[in-house]
Amino acid sequence: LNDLLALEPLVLGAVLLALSTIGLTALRSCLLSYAVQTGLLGALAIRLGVLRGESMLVWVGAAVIVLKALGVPLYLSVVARRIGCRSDDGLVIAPPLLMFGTVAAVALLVLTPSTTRLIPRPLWPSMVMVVIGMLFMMTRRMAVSQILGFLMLENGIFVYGVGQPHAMPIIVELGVLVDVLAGTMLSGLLVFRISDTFEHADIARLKELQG
Amino acid sequence: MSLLAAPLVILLLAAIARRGAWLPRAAAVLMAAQSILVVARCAPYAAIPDGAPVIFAGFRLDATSAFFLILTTLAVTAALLHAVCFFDAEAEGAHPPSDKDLRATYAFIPLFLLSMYGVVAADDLGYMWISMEASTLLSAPLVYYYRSGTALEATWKYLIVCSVGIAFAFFGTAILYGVSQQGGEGTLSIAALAARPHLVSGPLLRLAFVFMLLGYGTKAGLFPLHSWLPDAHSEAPAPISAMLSGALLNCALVALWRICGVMTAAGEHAFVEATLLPMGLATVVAASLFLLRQQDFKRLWAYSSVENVGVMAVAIALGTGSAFSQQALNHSAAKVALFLLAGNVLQATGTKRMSDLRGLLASRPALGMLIFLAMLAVAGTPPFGSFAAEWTLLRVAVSGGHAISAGVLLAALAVAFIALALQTGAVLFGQGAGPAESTAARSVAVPAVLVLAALLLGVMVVPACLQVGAAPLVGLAAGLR
Repeated sequence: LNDLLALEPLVLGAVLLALSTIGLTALRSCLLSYAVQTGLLGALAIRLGVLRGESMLVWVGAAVIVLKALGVPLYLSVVARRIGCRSDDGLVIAPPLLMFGTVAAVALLVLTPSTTRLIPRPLWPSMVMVVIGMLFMMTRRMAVSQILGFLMLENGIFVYGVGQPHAMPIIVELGVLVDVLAGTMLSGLLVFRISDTFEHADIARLKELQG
Repeated sequence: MSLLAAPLVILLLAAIARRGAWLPRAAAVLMAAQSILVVARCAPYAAIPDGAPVIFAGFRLDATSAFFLILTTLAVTAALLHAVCFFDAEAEGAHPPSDKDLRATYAFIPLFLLSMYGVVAADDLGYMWISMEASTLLSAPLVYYYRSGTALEATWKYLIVCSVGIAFAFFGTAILYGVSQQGGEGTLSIAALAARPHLVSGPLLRLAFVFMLLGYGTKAGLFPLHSWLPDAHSEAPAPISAMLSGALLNCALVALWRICGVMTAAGEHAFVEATLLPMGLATVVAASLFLLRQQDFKRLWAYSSVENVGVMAVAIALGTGSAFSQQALNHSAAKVALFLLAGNVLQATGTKRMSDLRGLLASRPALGMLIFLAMLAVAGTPPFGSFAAEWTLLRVAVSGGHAISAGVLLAALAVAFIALALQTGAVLFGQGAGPAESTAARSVAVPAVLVLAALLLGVMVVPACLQVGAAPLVGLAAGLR
């Protein structure tokens, strides 16, 4: 339990929000939750940048807040509204049920003594967020949810990169940001096409290509 | 820097052109010039095996990157030379491409090429990652060229599966960067990581490797992460399929080669062998079995690419650069030819279903004969170069104490050969041919040259490689080690 308390409050907030996102079915709530998580992580980067006196990290944090915490959710909500996609009831397992399962698993992880822990200590918050992103992608039907799951996964990786004693080189960090934004734009455009072509945006029903 | 000129000119032309019809021709001419330039610039580095790499601004030119810069350029050039005929035939077909489609295609192709240059020439694991992800984003619109429902499904899967995979590779890169800080200043430079083995080997480094293996392995199409590959490679138009199979897969494998090199420098070669070797073998076995039950002519060759990726992954796991580079060269030559020929078949008959294609040799002798030869080349039949590559690999595996792996590999290769022979045989010799039609010579010129190249690589390079001599290619092979 000490690990949980020793954690940066901003990271803790992001992890808890990610956990709650798994249980949400309304797409707007999911997007809002993602926006707040990402905002917290941007704030984390700014805070660490100020603490360590690395001005570049402050800029990365600002870019994350503006582009990823505000721009991306706005863009995705426009996409979702245009194709008339409001909620995602999940695939295989009901989202609230999955959320309780995940919370239990994380609690188990946090409560095990750190000597017998499978995942190394500095890694666990980002691992949890990455796994949540994966679970989100695997248990949702809608194309927009898939993009959101990928972005949550990517947030988990960002936490780790920022948490290192020396942040990643600024060019790499910005290059990743550009790639993620371009990927989101492109997949958003594809969602429009999918909804035009098939008259739905349900990825679980896209299975013509097989074998 | 001079390598960027031709792609940028193509991009500029695509941006300012009003009519798209002449773009394929202009791009073909420019890429032919680019090939000469790249070979002239890179061949000296490829020939000096142990020369110190030239590093500028996070990119490097050493034997590996020089070799794969040349190979990538040649594969893309071949595809673009053939694309002239391909788009001419498309223009006469049922759905002629609009100017906008052509311009978009020829805007993304040079950018895609530059992203592949970035992957093979990167000296920085971060830059390598960025280029790899960019290559997915830039080739996804190319896969969606036909605008059909299946093309859309393939593009979506390609984009999402590869992006998630590659995200794991970035996680691995971030962890590796963390590990590199334990012994001093953190670095992502491959040269620095390999030269000063301050990477503390241990569970964290292994975790980083596993994540990078998952990430770049997805992009390379290793089993069980290959699900997107047959879809994307079969739904893309022929020249794009050829680039994806003949150039992009190599780039993902070069990324694996680089991280395996870093792991080996850190004293973790045994771990590389324990993870990548079974994965490569599983890929060959699974792809061989999948080959048996294919019904779509392009998916068949896509699965054959998966099989070859498995062979190359085994070569990487064993640390044999010579087998890796030979296999990459031969596979690229034969597979680019096959995808271009499959495109011709699709344009001539309007179908990819193999049951509707029977009797191809009777109805289109030139096309059928070339497909037959290219199939032999890709399956590793003796006179062709891939036989030598696979032979080298098997020999290395046995002498390195991996006799069981070599046995599994040999059996899987045999199954793959039988599957390809049966499937292609049914298409070529089966009953139900339409009336005989002639094939325009220029529409098979590029594949014919490639098949000839695959044959020459076998006839000329095999003896040189089997008796380790002073042939430049052997030197190159040693340089990759």
